[in-house]
Parts: sequence; C-alpha cells; structure tokens
Amino acid sequence: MKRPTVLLIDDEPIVGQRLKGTLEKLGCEVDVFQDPGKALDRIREKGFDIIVTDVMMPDVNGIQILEAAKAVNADAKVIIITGFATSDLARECMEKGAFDMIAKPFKPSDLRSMVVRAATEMGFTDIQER
Amino acid sequence: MSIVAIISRHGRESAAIAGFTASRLGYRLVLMEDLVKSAAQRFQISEADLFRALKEPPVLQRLNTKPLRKHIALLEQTLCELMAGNQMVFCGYLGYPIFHEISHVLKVLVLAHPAAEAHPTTPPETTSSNGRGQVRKGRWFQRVYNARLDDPNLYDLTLNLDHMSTEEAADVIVNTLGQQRFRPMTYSMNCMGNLELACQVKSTIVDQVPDVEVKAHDGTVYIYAKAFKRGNRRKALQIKESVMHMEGVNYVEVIGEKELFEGM
Repeated sequence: MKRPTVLLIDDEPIVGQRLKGTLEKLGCEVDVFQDPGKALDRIREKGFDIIVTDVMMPDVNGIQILEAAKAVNADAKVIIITGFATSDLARECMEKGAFDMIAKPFKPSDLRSMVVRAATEMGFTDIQER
Repeated sequence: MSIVAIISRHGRESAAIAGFTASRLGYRLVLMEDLVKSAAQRFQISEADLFRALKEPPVLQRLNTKPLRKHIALLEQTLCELMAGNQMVFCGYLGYPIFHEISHVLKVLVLAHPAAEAHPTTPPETTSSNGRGQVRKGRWFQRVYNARLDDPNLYDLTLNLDHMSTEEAADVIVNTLGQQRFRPMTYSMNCMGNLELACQVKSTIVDQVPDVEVKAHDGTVYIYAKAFKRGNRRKALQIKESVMHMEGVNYVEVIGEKELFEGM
C-alpha cells in the first residue's frame, strides 16, 4: 500500500513536533524541517505529494517553497499555515497554486482534514481521519 | 462557494449585470430588496424601517441614531448569514467591510454612463430623482464606511458601462471569477465564520454602545469602543457578560479605544 509523502516545514520546532504525530496517525510518511533552505534542497531531491509550510521564515519564505514545490511536481498539494494571514496573502498563495491555507493558531484536526482532502484528491484511498 | 459582490450607486444597471452573472454561474442572486426582506423576516422588523436605515446614514447631528445603527448592523448580520454556504451574487451598496475581509469574494464596481451619473457635489435640486438616489447612496457609503463608494482601489474589478453592455459586463465578471485567487479555502471560510459571529455580537450591543467595532477569531470576540474608557468599567463588564452567553463565543475582550495606545 503506497502512503502519501508529506513534508512539514516550520521554523518553530514545536509546530513540527506536534503535527508530525498527527499526520503519521493518518498513515502519511512525514519529514519535518525547521530550516527552509534545507527543505528546499530536499524538495528538489525528492518530490513530495503534500507539503505543509509556514510563510514567514528566515532566508526562504513559504511562497518560495510553494513555487519550488510546484516546479518540481505540478501535482503536489501545498498547504500554507501562517500566523500572518491576510486576504492578499491568501490570494497570492491560491494564484501560485496552493491547495489550501489556514491561519495559525489552528487545531490539529483542521490540518488533518486538509491533508486527508489533499491525499484523497491525489488518489490515496486508504487515508482517512480517525 | 465563491461570491460576487457588485457595488454600485446605479441600482438598475448593476442589478441587470448581477442577474445575468447569477444566471450564468447558477448562483443565488441577492439584491438589496431581497436582503431587506430576509432581515425583516429574520428579526421581525418592518421593511420600511430597514429601508430607512439604507437611506438615512447615522450622523452626529441627529439626536437618535441608535435605531439606524441597529438596523444597519442587522442587515450586515443577515448578509453574512446569506453568504454562509452559498454561492451568491450580491448587488447593492451595503457590506463593503465584510467583503473586503474575505479573499474569495470578487468585488466589482460598476460605473454607469457619464450622462446618467450624478457627481456627489452636484446640488440635489439640479439632478433627476435617479441622480439624487445615486448621490444619496454615495453619501450613505461615505458616512457609514468612511470611504468613497466609487474609489476603484476598493475593488478587484471596475466596469464602465460606457464601454460595454450589461451582458458583456457579466461575461467579464464570470471570466474573472475563474481565476484561482477567488477560490475559497479554509482560511477564507474561517474568516466568513468569524465575520458572522462579529456581526451577531455587534447587532446585539450596538444600541447600548454606539460606535462599537467588533472582531472575532475562533470564538474569541474583541469589542472596541470609546465608551469603555477607564471611567466606564461597569458598562464594559455588563457588555462582556451579555456577550459571553452568546452561542459560539468562548472569550470576550473589551477594549477602550484609548487603551490601544497605552504603554506604547
């Protein structure tokens, strides 16, 4: 059974720690990065199915991650999580091909729903919210 | 669940565009009259009172502006409720701040033929009744939202009917709505929920606290008003108590305008 590969990028360690388990319980294979530059290298090395990324990070921002991810794999689903959500940012993300966006703080169940929706759209039938 | 908001002082022309757009998209059409009817039914208020609130903006010179503020708040609450879960084309001049907050709302300004357009500075006696209505809507918008209705910077799309028919205008709207940026997402849907709660709270307390502004985020409600300055703590507590019991409210923060700048 093929599992969806998920890359989680946030410069705050607590975010990755909390969400990794949540997504693994769904049946996803999860990689976590705090350094967006290293995450970018990993994306170019391995095309992920789903990428969950913060926006405001040092050196490389979430929009650059989004663009790189779509360039490597146009079908990749990119979910934006941000503490600085605005209507303009939301529109920019959607225009650049983001799958969804949510403002921080959010409940882990909100992210679970988005990941399940993304995985289902990509044809992963064995993934579901528990 | 995208939404189109057509804002214009030209009721007849923009209603025609809204009708064509709604029918092409298969969306629900909501005109100002429909909004008033829904609000009247929902809150058991006379339609005439609600129409009055849309004609007479609350101004300081008038002695009793509370009913007008209340009715505008109820109309905005109804608008939020109609938007929730609906693909909708709205046409009117109410609700601009609500639309501004939601990224999947396509905001359209419709300008009509210059011959039919009355400038806000034109004396009312020199314009037709249609022209007077247009001037009145502009003044209402300015006083209620502190913005110029015809300011293109407030909109995603400006359509000038001097250069196209109402049907062509509808085509432009339908094509523009196809852009990815107007696609609903979790964030924008949550914004709608937050706005709906903020409007509910505002319409509940606006007759007790004039000039109140309300924001909501995930069940936390922030109430801003000059009335909550230090000397009026009791009123702030009363308001907090009454709002705490409302459905969907987890926490209430009451903020006097002055306090925002304290400690800076």
